[in-house]
Amino acid sequence: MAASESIWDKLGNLDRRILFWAIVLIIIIPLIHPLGLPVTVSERVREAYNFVEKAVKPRDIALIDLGTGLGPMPETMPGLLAMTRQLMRLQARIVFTTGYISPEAVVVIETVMDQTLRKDPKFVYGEHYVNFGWYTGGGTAIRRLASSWKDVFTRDWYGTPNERLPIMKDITGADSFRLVWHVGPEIAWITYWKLGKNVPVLVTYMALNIPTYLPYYAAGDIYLLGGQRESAEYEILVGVPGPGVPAMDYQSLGHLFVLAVVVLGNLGHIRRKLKRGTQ
Amino acid sequence: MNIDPLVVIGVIWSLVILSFLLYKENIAYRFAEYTMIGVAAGHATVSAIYLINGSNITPLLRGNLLHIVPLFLGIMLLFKLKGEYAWLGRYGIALVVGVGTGDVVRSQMAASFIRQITSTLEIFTIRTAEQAFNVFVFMVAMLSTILIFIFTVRPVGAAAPLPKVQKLGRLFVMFVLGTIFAHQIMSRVAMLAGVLQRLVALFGF
Repeated sequence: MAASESIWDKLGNLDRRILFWAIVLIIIIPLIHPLGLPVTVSERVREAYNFVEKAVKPRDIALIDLGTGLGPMPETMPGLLAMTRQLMRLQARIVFTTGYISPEAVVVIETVMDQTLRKDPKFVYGEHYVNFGWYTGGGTAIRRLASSWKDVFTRDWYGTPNERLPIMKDITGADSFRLVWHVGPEIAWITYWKLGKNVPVLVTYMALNIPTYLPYYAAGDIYLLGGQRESAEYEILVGVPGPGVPAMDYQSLGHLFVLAVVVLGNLGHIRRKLKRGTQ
Repeated sequence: MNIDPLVVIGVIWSLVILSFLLYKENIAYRFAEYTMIGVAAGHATVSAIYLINGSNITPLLRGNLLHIVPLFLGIMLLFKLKGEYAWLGRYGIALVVGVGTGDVVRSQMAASFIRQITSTLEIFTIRTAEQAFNVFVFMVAMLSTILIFIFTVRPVGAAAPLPKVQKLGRLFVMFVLGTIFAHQIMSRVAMLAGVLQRLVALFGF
């Protein structure tokens, strides 16, 4: 009978949409009233930052490749912006590409350039940075880029031929680049650029992909920034405020809420099991 | 107040998509879903034409006749649409699959298999007590987890403790799954927050 339902039974039969609404509210509150929870920098992020600081010299060329669309951007954008700003401070030249088929990836590149490079008149398009846009072929194309860049890209995303891009005088293949910063799940960068050509590879992607990348990180093949949390840490190291650090408020509250729900769910499950055992 | 109409459209679109989770499937959600698929398919087609033109047709017209091979194989793929000539498309696919497999076997063996084994062996260079403890936990976790997948040994005699070791292995697997679940939450919360952030900003917060 419904009247004899305990609180545990009610929780067990709760409409999941109530939980979704609760999550929405928990995220919105710190967006309106930031809590300013502290963020500490982990060793993995410091390693990546220190590597870039030491390795990149003025006029070195860095490749930023997007293997993802807009969906994961709340997680990866803070790191992407912070990294671009760091490379700008180090006076590096930056090349953008994407192997992601959806239209969103080029929008992300445009957003990054709008918020960083295009705001600084010292950086001239074609000379200090260039957007080559989309390439197809996944791992095969990444391998080809390593051996002969012009076989994959004959012009930039806006149709300018390579010959009219001054930066292209110094780009032939993987050897021309000081590092690759890949935002996405493409392992081919490790295979062909790190292990094949010994170009350092840094990876940023969603938190849920960290377990996939951890073996490569443990093997010393990549530097890794996983998810929004580590992107926020990178923001702190670069020292330019961005969207990452404030996001840690709702991340912490969201985690606490899910943790509480998981604990309650397990308690209810154990209780039901014990009840069944005594019957 | 200066409001960007694109942001308004983005917020409305996001809310329509979220209505599936927060309310139930509805006609507005379906409209948004189909629009998204249509736009993505349209963009992919145009991008593909742009890319084929740049990397194949243009070099071919400039006299690089080698580009006729991929163009020919690509056209043959279109025969897949016509049942009786579908076999013609197999040549292009065979080449792609063959090259892909050969490439993956060679490269992934190096990156994901041999490199992982050598880096695992590197952990045995122990210098501190902390490293020794880590290696001990790592070895117990690795061996007990691998032993879960041994199904051909009866738990008798020397193999009698096998079920207990497998139980320990299951515990480690659950730790890993728990970690992956926590990372999933982080990703999903971040994605949802990205949408809500635009919503909150629209109302001036």
